[in-house]
Amino acid sequence: MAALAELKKIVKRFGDVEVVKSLDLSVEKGEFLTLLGPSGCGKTTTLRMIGGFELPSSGEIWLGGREVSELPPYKRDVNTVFQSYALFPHMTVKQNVAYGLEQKRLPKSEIEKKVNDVLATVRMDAFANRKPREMSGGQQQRVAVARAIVNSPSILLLDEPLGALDLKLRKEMQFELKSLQRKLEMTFIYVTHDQEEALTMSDRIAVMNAGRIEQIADPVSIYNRPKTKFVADFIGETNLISGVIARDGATHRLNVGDSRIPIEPHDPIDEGKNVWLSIRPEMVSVHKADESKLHGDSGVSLTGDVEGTVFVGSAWKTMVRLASGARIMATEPPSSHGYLEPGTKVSVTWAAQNGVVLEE
Amino acid sequence: MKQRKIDLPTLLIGAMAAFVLAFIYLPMLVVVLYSFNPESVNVFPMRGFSLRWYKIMAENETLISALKISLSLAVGGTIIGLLLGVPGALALARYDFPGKRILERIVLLPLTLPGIVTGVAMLSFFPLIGVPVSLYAVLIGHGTFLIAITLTQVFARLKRIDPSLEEASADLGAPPVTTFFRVVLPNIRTAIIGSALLSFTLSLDEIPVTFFLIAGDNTLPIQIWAMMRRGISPEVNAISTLVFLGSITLILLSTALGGRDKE
Repeated sequence: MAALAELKKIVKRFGDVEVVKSLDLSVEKGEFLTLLGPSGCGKTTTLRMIGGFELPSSGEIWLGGREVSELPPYKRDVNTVFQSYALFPHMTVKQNVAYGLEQKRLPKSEIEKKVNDVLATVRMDAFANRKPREMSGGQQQRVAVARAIVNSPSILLLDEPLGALDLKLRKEMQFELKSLQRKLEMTFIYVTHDQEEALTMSDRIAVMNAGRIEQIADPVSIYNRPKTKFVADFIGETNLISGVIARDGATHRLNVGDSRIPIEPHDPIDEGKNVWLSIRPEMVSVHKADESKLHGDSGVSLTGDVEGTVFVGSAWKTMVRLASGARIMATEPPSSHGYLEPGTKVSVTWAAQNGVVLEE
Repeated sequence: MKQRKIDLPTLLIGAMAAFVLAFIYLPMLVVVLYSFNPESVNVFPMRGFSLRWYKIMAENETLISALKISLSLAVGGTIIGLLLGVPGALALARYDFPGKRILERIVLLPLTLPGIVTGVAMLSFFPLIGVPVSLYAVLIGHGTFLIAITLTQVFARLKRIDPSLEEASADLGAPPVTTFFRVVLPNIRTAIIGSALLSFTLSLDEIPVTFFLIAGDNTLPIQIWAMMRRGISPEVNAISTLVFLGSITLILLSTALGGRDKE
């Protein structure tokens, strides 16, 4: 099946600055795809090119089997939820939502029905006659979503739509948007710099950095099997240890100074190569030196000194300085070891298959 | 109900405000009073009240024709200002084109240049392009600085409007013309009305540019000026009072319309 939307070798330059560098992306019908990355990575520019607000410097954009690279926004079958909501201040909620349908010259009665239905869907029917400035940010956000989805676009583009909301409301809206997307079976392309938001909502995440897609995969793979150091570091918390690959027959290890860390690389890798080992803090356990146990055959066990322990309610977080000088953060349940004095001799352990080997 | 405290600073600020208002409006008040003076010499206190000068003014055909000319010029100049100023403001605020930075800087020039310089310049230039000194020349002359008025006012408003409003309109399927009439225009409406009223009053009392470009027919300010050279005529007080009332009405109108926008 052909992809619903396809970006082929898209480049966008502003003056001398290349903001998007030969980007390829294909979006499947009905999926929730997130473009995730730090500010300035080109994610918003990419979204704006799909919407038609920026034209690519080179490359092609295809929507529903048609090339649209040069088409203006009003000739594309996509709708956008803007970061600033961009509700028309001189129109009521109802007039705002009806605007797109009026452009399609639908009969009045049909517009009326669709507007009422969509306002009920986003639970804003009681606000139909309000002006945008008479509503809270969260309410405006719902209206902005309603105004876009009422047109049944083939793709809904969302540019950091929750960025202006407070944390609690943002979490609620994440679930609401996700269930709305499932209910409507609509394709969403969502831009955010919030990795937690991306993990919560997406079917697939494209992690962007400096105008390129570093990795595109489902949230679990992105989190557990990052492909690059940037992805491992940007998504969630992680420990990154730099070392050199060594081999003992079939088994691999990482030489970090004098330490030998067993590793299980996913892909074949050459001996002597400089790599990073990424291990998530929640995969790491800390044991007092006298009660240390090995993690079976493939276990990693390293000794070190506790630098500090903090209790964050849901977990203990312990920072350990290893003999090699590397520092490892461990996140463990409240029922684990409890408070550890700085300077305590400990061993840190993890299962080797949980470590991810990353080339530079 | 709480007693409103009147302390020294409040009193001083009140006195200051009263002084400023008196400074501006007292001379005008004198003109209004004298326009009802039954005698032909301006003396105070007045002996009685009369509409005599209004009657004489109304019978002064030169004065009335000057008023008509001034009003037509003000209407024409305002229309020129709107027709060229609004698109100019849109271009400056929303599009990039070569020379935009320079245009942004020099667009205010007709306002800042002394009228006498503009007047002399146009007097030399218009004959070169075949426009004789006439009311048409005056109209073009007024147009030049009225464009600047409209352009700067509308530009300032456009700068305060979120550009994503226009993107949203396009996104929802509206071509640029629809976007202009349904999204942009309603949001700059009061700026347009305000600049039109300002243009109208500025054109009405313009002298320097008009003076150089006018041929036979006088505008109202120039006619009044000519009459004043033969001594203060009370009918000038009468026409000044009418113009003053007209201006006040326009100002109240523009504030009322501006207020409605903020509903």
